[in-house]
Amino acid sequence: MEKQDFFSSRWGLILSALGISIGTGNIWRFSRIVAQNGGGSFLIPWVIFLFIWSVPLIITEFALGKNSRKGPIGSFIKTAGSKYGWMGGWVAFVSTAIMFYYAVITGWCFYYLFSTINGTLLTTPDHLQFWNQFSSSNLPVIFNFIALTVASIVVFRGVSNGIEKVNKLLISFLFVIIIILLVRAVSLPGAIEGLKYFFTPKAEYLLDYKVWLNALTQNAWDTGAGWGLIMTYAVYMKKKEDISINAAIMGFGNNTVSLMAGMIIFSTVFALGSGDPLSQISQSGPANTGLTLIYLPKLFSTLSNSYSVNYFFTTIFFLALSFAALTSLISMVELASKSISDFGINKKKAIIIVALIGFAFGIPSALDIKFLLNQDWVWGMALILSGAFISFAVIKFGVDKFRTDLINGEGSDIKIGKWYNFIIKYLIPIQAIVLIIWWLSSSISWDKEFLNPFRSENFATCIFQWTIVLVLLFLFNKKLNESFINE
Amino acid sequence: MNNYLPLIVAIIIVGIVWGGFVFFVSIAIKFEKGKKPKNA
Repeated sequence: MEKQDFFSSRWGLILSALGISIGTGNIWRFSRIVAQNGGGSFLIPWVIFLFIWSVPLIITEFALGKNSRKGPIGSFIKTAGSKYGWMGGWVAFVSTAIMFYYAVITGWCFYYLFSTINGTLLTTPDHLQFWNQFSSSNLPVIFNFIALTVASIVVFRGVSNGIEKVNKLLISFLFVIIIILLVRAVSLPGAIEGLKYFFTPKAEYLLDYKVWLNALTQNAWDTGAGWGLIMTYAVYMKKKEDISINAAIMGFGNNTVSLMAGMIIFSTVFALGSGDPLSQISQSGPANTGLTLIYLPKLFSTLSNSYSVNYFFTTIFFLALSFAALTSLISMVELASKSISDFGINKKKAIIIVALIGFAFGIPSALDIKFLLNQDWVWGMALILSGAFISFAVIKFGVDKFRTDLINGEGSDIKIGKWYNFIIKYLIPIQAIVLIIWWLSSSISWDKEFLNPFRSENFATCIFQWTIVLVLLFLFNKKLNESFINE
Repeated sequence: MNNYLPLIVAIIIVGIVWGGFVFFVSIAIKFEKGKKPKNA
């Protein structure tokens, strides 16, 4: 029997939880989505969904992991009952499938940091060409390997010696870097125009349901709520640790970083960009890399007349991006290896298995961006279903019992009120159903061949891949349950 | 009024998000201080 490892302090747990939620989505996706959805008009629903999607789900995940002391499969069996182990299997599988291509994206960030440090990124005359050369070479495979190796070594060292220590260091540094970048960006001449757009609401966007659905989607993808990752870290929190305040710090902390990143990007692009700054921010480019990997490096190289100043700010930007990506990847590796070790396999062996499988399954995404986009679409969407499954587990257990016994139980600093029952019982399932229907119906309209499952981002590919995984999980549900019940 | 709109929205959004973050961190600090043994 392996000795249970715990987070040594509350702050270690909180910074590690922030490491889950603060990822490339805060820097990379957030600004693009804000620009596409009317600036300030997007921020209003985005804040509302923090309260009615992200924070309640984060609270739930903390309570599930803390009380079951198991990864997602064991948590679901213990909470919803032995018939529903497959739902936990779904949550674990989806985050693991995301890990396969997220390691590739982390590798991109590492490569751009490396290219900034050795000077090639700042001196290149054509940043699009720079990206094309990189993405069409074997380098993404090598950097995928590096990213997974680094993340696995951290997980290998254990919770208190690896995950906690690394997150304490990287997330603290990340906050410092973001503040330095924010001060620099908002003090650029012309930055105020970017901030004005960022914070100005427009009635026509506010009344557009798509803006609201995009705001909900951003919350579902970006805060780490409903991924099963928080559930996994919560396994290692001590009984005396609080849930509710820690969950609120995680949700608000994540959105704090998103706001700062948005202010940095809007200020920089409006101050330094030529042409229409909005189209520059909202352009997707290959694999949605347009803003972060093509346009921003170009702008950073014109930040001032001094090469050293530009070098410094570009380096710390990609350092922040790499830290954000790595801390999220670490949590995905931990989730996958915890899920395997729950079946009685030695944890260290499980980490090696995850690293090897992760590398092998990441290769197609590293070599073919279309494949990566396909996986991002299929499993990104699946996360919404994961959120719905988590709320189902609580409903099955008894929402009020869950709130009073598990959330407001031992260690709680504050008591969560009955508002939680309403959100978990009604709002989360409704939001999940509406989002899934909206995205899937939209995917029918944007691809004429929507019934062809071998296309990159369409209806059929999503349903096809989900069905395979769900059928397998149903078939092995009995086996899953037996493994846990026999313990 | 329109000139002040972004400023008002900025204060509200930043106030809720950053203010919420600082608020919950400070509550956590308060509770942690309260949990420490007084004679330690």
